[in-house]
Amino acid sequence: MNDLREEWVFLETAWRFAFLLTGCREGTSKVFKDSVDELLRHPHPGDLDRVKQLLFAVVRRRSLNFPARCELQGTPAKLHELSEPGRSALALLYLDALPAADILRVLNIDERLLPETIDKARSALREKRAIIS
Amino acid sequence: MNSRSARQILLCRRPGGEDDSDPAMKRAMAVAAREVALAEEFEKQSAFDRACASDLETISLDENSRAQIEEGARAFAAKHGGARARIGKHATFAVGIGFLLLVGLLVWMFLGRAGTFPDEAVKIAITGAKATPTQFDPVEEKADALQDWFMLKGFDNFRVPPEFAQFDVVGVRIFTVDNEPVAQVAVPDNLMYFYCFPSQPLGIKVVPEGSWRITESDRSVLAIREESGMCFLVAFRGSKKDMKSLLENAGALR
Repeated sequence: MNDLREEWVFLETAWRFAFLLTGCREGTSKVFKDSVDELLRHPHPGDLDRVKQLLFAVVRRRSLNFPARCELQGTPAKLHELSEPGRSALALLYLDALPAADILRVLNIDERLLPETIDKARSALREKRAIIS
Repeated sequence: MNSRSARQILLCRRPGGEDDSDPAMKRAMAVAAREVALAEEFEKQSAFDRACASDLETISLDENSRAQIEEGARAFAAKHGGARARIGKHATFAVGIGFLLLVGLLVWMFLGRAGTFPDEAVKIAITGAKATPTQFDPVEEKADALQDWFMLKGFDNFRVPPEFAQFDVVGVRIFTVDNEPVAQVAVPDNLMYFYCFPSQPLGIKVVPEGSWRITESDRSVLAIREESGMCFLVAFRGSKKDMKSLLENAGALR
């Protein structure tokens, strides 16, 4: 995506986020398209940060409703197997999608719970990676 | 900052170091540098996170996904650039808001006779009625589809009763009353405003929970209900009879 302007790179990140949650390209394609369409109906005059947050929130909501099947391999596949909301939190962190303060809003969880949520998910992923390595 | 607080912050650090310039993160890293156990844990975490982030970068994009992303970027760019200009072109929106402002003015003029209606709710209606059309962001959504929009504006608990979920909305905004945020929604049907706000900080209590309290002032009417700490207020031009009819038709009166 070298020709994608820097301000829109988050769309590529959102696509990867959807892939990690749905586990398949078919689901990712549908979730991404529907999410973009939904977001285009929202007002977001001149505030890209708000657009980013909302896109990740919508992508997550739609992805969790999609019947998942896993075409992923390696670490992405192991991350896909984690439970929510730790899976989404860790995916957003590793994709460098958003800072922690914004991840809170996307996941709609209490500020105090995010470190614990990430810690548990990270430990679970470490165990799963240890099995495949 | 103690070791425990520092650990909580470090657990949420992005592996590429994008958060390292954040003052809290800097302090947390300084604490970690002084404490061996925390430093070891942080180092281990950072190495693991970098490896995982690197693995996630291997997710490949095929031709279709690239095209989809580029199409999305074009659509956002078009909307991003044209959003403000579109407000002026939205004749329906402007006319709708104009009517609503008239209704709001009437509500404002006659609110002195609101009787036992919660005073703070009256205050909210007065403040809301003073809004100018340019203070609203235009939307074309159902009322129950606005939760994300308000969430990203910093208003986390926007909700409408299920009976009001399917009303079309043409404008939305957030304002404050006594430093408390209030969500305001312009509804063209029946020329109404919906308001949503937290009850406790404003000292409002509508009991029993879920019941409606209605007040009438000349040709304007307000109805309020409270549920799970949030109030929902409806205001439009009409009488108590009109409000009861609206609530009955919506299925909100049982």
